[in-house]
Formats: sequence, structure tokens, C-alpha cells
Amino acid sequence: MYILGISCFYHDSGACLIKDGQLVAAALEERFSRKKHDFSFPHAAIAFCLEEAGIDISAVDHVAFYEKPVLKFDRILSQHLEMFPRSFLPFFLALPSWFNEKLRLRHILRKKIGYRKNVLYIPHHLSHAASAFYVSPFEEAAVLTLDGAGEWQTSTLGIGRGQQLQQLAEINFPHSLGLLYSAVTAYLGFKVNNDEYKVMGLAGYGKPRYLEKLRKVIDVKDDGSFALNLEYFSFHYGMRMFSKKFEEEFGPARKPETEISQDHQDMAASMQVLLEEIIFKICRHLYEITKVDKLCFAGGVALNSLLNGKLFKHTPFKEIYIQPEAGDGGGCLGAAFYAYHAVFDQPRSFVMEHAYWGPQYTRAEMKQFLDDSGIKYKEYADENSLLAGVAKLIKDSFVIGWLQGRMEWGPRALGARSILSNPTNPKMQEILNVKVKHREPFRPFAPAVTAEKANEYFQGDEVVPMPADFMLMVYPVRPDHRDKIPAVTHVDGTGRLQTVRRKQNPRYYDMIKAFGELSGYPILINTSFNIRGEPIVCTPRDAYRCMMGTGIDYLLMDKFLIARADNPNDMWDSEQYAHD
Amino acid sequence: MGMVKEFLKSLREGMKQFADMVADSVNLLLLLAVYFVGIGLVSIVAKLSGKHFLDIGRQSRQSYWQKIEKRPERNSFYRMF
Repeated sequence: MYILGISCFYHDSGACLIKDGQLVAAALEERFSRKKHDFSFPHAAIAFCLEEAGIDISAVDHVAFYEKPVLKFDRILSQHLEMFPRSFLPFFLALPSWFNEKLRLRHILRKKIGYRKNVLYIPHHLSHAASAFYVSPFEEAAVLTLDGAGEWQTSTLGIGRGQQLQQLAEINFPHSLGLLYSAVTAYLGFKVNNDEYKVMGLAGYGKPRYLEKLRKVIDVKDDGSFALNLEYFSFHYGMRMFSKKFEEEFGPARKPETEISQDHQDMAASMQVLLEEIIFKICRHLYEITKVDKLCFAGGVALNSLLNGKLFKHTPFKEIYIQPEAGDGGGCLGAAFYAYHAVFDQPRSFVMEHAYWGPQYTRAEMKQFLDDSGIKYKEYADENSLLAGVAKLIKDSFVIGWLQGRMEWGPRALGARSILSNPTNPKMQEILNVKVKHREPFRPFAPAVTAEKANEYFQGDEVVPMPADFMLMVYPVRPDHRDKIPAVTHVDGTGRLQTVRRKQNPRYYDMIKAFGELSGYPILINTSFNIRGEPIVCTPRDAYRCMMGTGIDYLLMDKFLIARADNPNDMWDSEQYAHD
Repeated sequence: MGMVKEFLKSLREGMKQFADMVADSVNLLLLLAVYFVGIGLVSIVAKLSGKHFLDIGRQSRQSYWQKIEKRPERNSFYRMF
């Protein structure tokens, strides 16, 4: 049985295909369309999934969509009815898209991909819950979902047992932790649904001076349930996330691209501490009602790796699973698996142990691209010479573009479409920012470490949980190593590490080890292979274009090493593309 | 021949722009009517009768969790609502 999962029309559209309960392929549309956070119908991602399975749309038995459009429209209408006439502008801007596409999914499926069979509509938060639980290694787990908003739900507690997944409690719109975090993101001059991770990075520089004031905007109970004081917000009727009262309380909002002050850093730290406090309470309550010590966590809030790294310390949970694309893009995965296991009552047999579910390119395809484009390159004769050669380049602080195997599923580069460099060089962060990333200096770079060495360099949980493989946990770097790997140690002494296991990605793992033999540290800087403002690269052409438009020194695709210096640098000016 | 082609191309583009303008105008009028007549009237009547569509003025409670007692029926997944 083939089930095609689809999520789209809000942000980060994506598609996945499962065959008899096994994931075949999954990808976000932005990687193909080259539009960051593309939310349009995932035409290219669907085409890729079908191609990967070697089928056409007629072989797909069911399509599972990640929410119930009419129920969501009901919430949108309710907002306008409640907030009339203040909701005038959002009504005009948003309503046409509802009638043109959001409420016409069947028509769009028929017209764009020729699909005419049944469509299953899985509620948004049930899709989130399923996206974590059904692909987790747990037979039984407590399930927590937190995001901005689905149809009505913004937070749910649940339990999964075998094929069964049951929601136990909910909090509904407009009371939302995701929207609170987004409001602070907007207040700090960053983009909503895009820059929340910047607030997380900024938090490390601040003190939670505004924590007590922030408590005024949300009433939190001992069981972690909460209600926003909506006098401080305008997201439920306006084009802004926060109201004038919020600015009266906390001072004027920061304008985008202006200087970041200590106040802004303190605000970010306060928001992060508040979020953590609330979620620890929620988790303790969830444990109380389920008595299960395994947790599956999903929704956009689950991408807050700073919070995730502290969960075991502050809650009774002993094991955790977070799927690599815990945000809305991953809803398609949950919808497809929910349909298979819960609706069609099929047994579970799949665990997502790695994130490599996107397209890959063969050696022949890469060679043809290089030859056809007249690109100068060399090809390593064997694996050992490749590892030794590239490790030496990294040790010499060159910046390496790394395109290997199947593209990652989710927002993080995890060693398939990555930029690798030397974490022991104190200037590497600055070099990367100047040469490639053009990003804010307060944002840390992530370390990739071999799984068995993680505890040697990081004060993580005793058994580093699987989400660390997906770069979803932040842990303190051990104090005696902080000055040895300065480029991946954040100002607060932490690192958002990625643990790498050989069975997941042998060449990447071996590369980290080879660098470790040269430098004494089996750790690499791993940052996403993209120019600021663009999606992570997908194809060899995207990768080459990115290298030539930036200061990346070398590009390794399969065994082909391409030096930027050997090729004419007249294709693209990255500054032209560097924006959010 | 070239001039005729050029003229027809320009005419097509002009017609398309005109059609887009008409569509935008009709959309605007329809949306205005829906918002002020549909949404507006219902909203005013609801406000007068004390009906709320969103939980915006929450009274403090012991817990804000709302229990979910009902499990969705299998057939409900084939519906958009």
C-alpha cells in the first residue's frame, strides 16, 4: 500500500511516500523550488517521491493531508467574527487564498498531479503527534505537541501504544506557546516562522531580566496549562504579532537589521527561560497522567534544542524521540503514518534512525554535470586518500562544501548537504561568517561529533538520545575543552551538537574520525550548505553555484574535489542573494 | 507579418491586464460585501447577544487543559472538517 503524505499552504510544504509502512522518500518543497520556506503545493517534492519509488501517481492508494482545511477555516472565520472590524486587513489579504487553493485540495490534486482517489485529512496536531510516535523506537510513549496553531489546537497531550495514538488533552487557539515565542521573535526584529532559532541563539548572551514582566503576558498553572493575556498580542486580528501594550511594557520593538542591545539579549533570555519553565511543568504533568517515561515531542516548539537538552534533568522522562522535521513540514509524515497505522490498522515496523530521505545523485550524474559545465576537478582514487586529503584541508582551515548521498529531511544539514570546517581554529567562526554565511555574529556554529565520543566533550545526558543525531539537543561543552573547540562553543558554554553514527552515514563519520586523528578532536563544524536567505542546496548544480558565489574553498561531491580557485569565479555574487 | 504578430501579442497582454483588473475589482467588491455584510452583521448580532467565537477573555481556572474524551471515528478522516 502506497500512501502519499502532503503538507502545504501555510509554511514549509513537504511530501513523503510510504510503502507498506516503510518510508521511501521525504523532502521539503523549498529544496527544489529554491524558495525558502516555500508553502506552495509541493509539486516537485511529490514528483521526487514518486520517482524514488519508481511509480506514478496511479499506483498511490491514498493521499493523507496534514490538517483539516474546513476546520481551520472555521477558526479563521471565528477570528474575523470575534475581532470585527479590526481584522479587516488580514481578511482581505488571506481570504482569497482560502477559496483559490486551501479549500480546494481535491481539485488541486486532480489538476496538478492527476490524483482522483480518496484523500484522508488528519488533524494538524494528530499529524504532529503521529510524525514523532509512529517513527519512534518506542512501543509506548507519552506524546507532546506544541506549535503556533493547527486548526484550533495549539498544544496537545497524548499517549501512543502500538498502533494506537490517543490525544488526552488540548489547549486551543489563541492560547499558544508557539505564538508567544513568535511574538517575541517579531518584537526582537526577526521574522516570524523563520527566525525563532535566532532568539534561541541570542538567549545565550542575555540575563532573564524580563522574566517577571513576561509572566504578566501568560497565566501558567502548576500542570503547565496556560492562557495568554491577549491584551499584549494582536496576532489574532492584525498583521503584527504583539500589541501596543506589549511595547508599553517592554519598550519599543527592535527594528529589523538594527543594532542588538543588551535589552534585546535579556528579552530573548527571558523568553527562553519562561518557555523552558512552562514546558518542564507540562512534561511533569504529562508524565503524571501517562506514567510512561518515554516522550515523543513534535511541533515547531520541539525544534528548540536549548530546551530539549534540559528535558531529562527537569522532568521524569528517561528517553525522548523527536523527528528531524518536527515542524509543519513534517506533518505530511505524520499524516501518512497515521493513515497507515491508525486508520488502516496496520502494524508498526519502521523507525526513523537517520534523516537521509531526500534525493541523491550518482557518480555518473555528478561527473556529467562537471564535464558538461567545463568545471575543473580531481577525483580521489579511493576512500582513504579522500579522507586523508579532505581532513588535511579542514585542518588547514579551508571551508569545505560537502554533498554526499541522500539529502536530509528537515531543516538541519546533517552531513549530506553541509559545510564542514575546523572547530579548533578560534577564528573559524569569523572566517565562515565572512566567507560564506553572512549571518549575525551572535549565532553559534554546530559541532558534529562521533556518537561514542560525545560524552567526552559534552556534558550531555548519560545516554545521548537519538534527537542529538538530528541536531536537536544543546548540551554544555565540558569546561576543559571549551577553549580547544572555540568555534563551536557558544558564549554560554554550550554546543548544539550532532552525534554521528557510522551506520547512518559512513563517509561523514569517517571524515570526522580522520579529522580527529589529525587534530586530536573528532569534531567538525557542521553548518548548512546555503547562502543566508536561501534553502539548503539540493543538486550538484546548487552546490557548485553556492560555492562559486561564496568563499567556500572546496566542494566535495562523491569523490570529486572541486577547488574554487581553479574555476572562474564569475557566476554569482552571493551578496546579491544574502538576505532573510 | 511581424508587425501583426507584435500587435496581437500586445493586444493579448493588454486584454490580460484588463481581465486581471476586472477580476481584482470584482474580488474587492465581493470581499467588501462579505466582510461588512456577512462577517460584520453576524459579529454585531453576536456581540449584542454575548456570544464569543474566540476564548479571548479567559477567567483564571485551576487548569486550562481541556480533556479530549471522544476519539475520532475512522470515517471522519475522509472529511475536510
